[in-house]
Amino acid sequence: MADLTLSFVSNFNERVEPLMNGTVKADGIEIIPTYSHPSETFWRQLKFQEFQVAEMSMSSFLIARSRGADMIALPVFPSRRFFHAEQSYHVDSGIKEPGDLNGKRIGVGEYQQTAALWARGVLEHDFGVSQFKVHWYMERTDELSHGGATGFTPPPGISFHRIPPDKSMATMLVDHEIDVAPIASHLSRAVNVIDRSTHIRGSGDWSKVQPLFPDEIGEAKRFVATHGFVPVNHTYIIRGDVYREQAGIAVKLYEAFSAAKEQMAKTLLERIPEALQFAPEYLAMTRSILGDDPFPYGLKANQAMLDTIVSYSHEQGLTPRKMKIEELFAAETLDS
Amino acid sequence: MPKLKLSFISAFNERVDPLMKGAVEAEGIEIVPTYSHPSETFWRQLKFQEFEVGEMSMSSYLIARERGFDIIALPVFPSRRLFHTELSYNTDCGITKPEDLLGKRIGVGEYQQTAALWQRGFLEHDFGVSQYKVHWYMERTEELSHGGQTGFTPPAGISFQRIPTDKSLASMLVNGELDVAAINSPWKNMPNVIGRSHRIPGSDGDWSKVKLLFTDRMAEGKRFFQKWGFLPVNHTYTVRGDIYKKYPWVAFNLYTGFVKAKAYFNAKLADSIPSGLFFGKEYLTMTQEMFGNDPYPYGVKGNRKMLETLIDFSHEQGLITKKPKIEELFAKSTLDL
Repeated sequence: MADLTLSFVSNFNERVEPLMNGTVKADGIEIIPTYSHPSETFWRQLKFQEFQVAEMSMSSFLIARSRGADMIALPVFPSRRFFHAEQSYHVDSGIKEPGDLNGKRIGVGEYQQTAALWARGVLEHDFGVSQFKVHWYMERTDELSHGGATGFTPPPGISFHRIPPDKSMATMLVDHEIDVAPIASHLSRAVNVIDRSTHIRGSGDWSKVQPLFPDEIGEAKRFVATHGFVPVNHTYIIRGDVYREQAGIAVKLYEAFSAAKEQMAKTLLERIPEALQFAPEYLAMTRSILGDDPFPYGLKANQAMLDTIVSYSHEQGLTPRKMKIEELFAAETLDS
Repeated sequence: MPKLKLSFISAFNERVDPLMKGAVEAEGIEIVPTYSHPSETFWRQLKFQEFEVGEMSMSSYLIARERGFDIIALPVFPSRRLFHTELSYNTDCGITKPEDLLGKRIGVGEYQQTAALWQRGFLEHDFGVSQYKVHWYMERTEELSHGGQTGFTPPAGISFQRIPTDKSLASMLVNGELDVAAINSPWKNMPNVIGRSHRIPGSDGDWSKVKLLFTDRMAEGKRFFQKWGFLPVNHTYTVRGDIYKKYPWVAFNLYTGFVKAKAYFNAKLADSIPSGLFFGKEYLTMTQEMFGNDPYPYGVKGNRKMLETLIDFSHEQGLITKKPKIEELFAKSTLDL
């Protein structure tokens, strides 16, 4: 029998790459890969549903599902970072530590994006910064945003502004028109059509822009000790029509994602650039902080993370109720 | 526009790869790349001179030049490690620190290889372990060794043995037939025809008894760099003499190609760290705080101390009989770079 062919869109992610480049194959499935920046992927997928399998923003997925979007997720979470710790601030803002953010102007790429959800939630719950007592500045335009595709309106009680289209988070932060923005993300330099900070960089005095968490490793330790997980921003979804027509593909894809992750975990040490000189030592440090598998797949291993993101989404007014796990993930993966 | 085609052999090296895969070019030159394990490369180059441009062992290069080999080096040093911190020991041998090595049995892939030269040199100069008061065990056979091609005989006064051909550094260390060996190099698992530790890995032994001699490699790296001011180099690149004489311009052109390739990689370094490491940027900063922003300097000027130390060690270890001038070792047009 010929393989089922599935269109597949995702950013490059080392834990997914073996699946995209064909070194790991999902049983009976041939993947046609499209590499795409997440900002573009989610906008295209939410607006046009072009791909049969797609990387998807966790936050936008919760919102889309609460509005009945026809797609279902796999409990695979290969993309995780400490998003709240990627914030930078302008030194003229008087900020010294995260707790000083009350009353300040905070830039976000997109209000509903998962990175912003985690940053708001962690700042509020761990550092006492109420999301209602700061001023939010969003960079993406309505037309080019994920929120535009899922019907975003600013939640009641939120002080919400848009960044003018000739400016960006980067220019406004360096010119101190906002106080804080997450411009230290590793994707912040990858140019894409959605995010203006990648091409409108500003010519101000960048020495005045400093990381809000100068000891990111220390903050990661604190976060993991408190919460027990590393925040996830993306998952992978199957389009509803494909999921219904092709019995068994959820399990086959889940297994392939797991095999791909395992393959890359084995080669992690040798993929660390030699220029770091201390690859084994650095890998040991990471493992001592985050354990041997900082990217667990499956629902059981992600219970605390999923409970937290569902709660944050609801208390931030992005979803009208707390979404249930069984509404979000393919039925065949609920025991995973 | 016609270009000079040059065969080029090297292991994968992140600072050289842009040149090998063509992301950057050396002016006027088209490179025909062969990726090869260094153990094989040097043996092939020293024995058959097959490639017009090739990666070359620094130590074997000094020896080969003294014996009149017709090759000339470029002052590019993209491969550097803290070789002495890659030594492991068997816990049954009763040592706990580097100073305890006197009288012990130390395994080396090849006696004259650059990693072993640096290990001997720093053990002797920094930890008081005389090379004459330990027993050396070499894994490579004469036929398949670099020394076999450059006329190696064990230096006078050295206790030198060969590892039986059905054993390896790894199997002898884990079974307590050696006390110390360098089995932690990043190359250890890469198959090649010269070394045996990947084929005879000693996997039935008790590896929990094998520990790193330097338990805190980063602290040792810091100490080392503060004292010596460089990261030890094991390889350089050479141009075959006939090519250098016929096309003297290739030396400078290749040198600038290597410089471009290194810059190309450095610009991508932070992004090339696997995201699975999570704190790649922080770790890169830690490394840079230890070794500066360019731990891989090219050019004779930026490497004089390293080259003088290498020549001193080679000479005092009896690998070369007289110290060459640095100026004799590198292509003339690159000496002021």
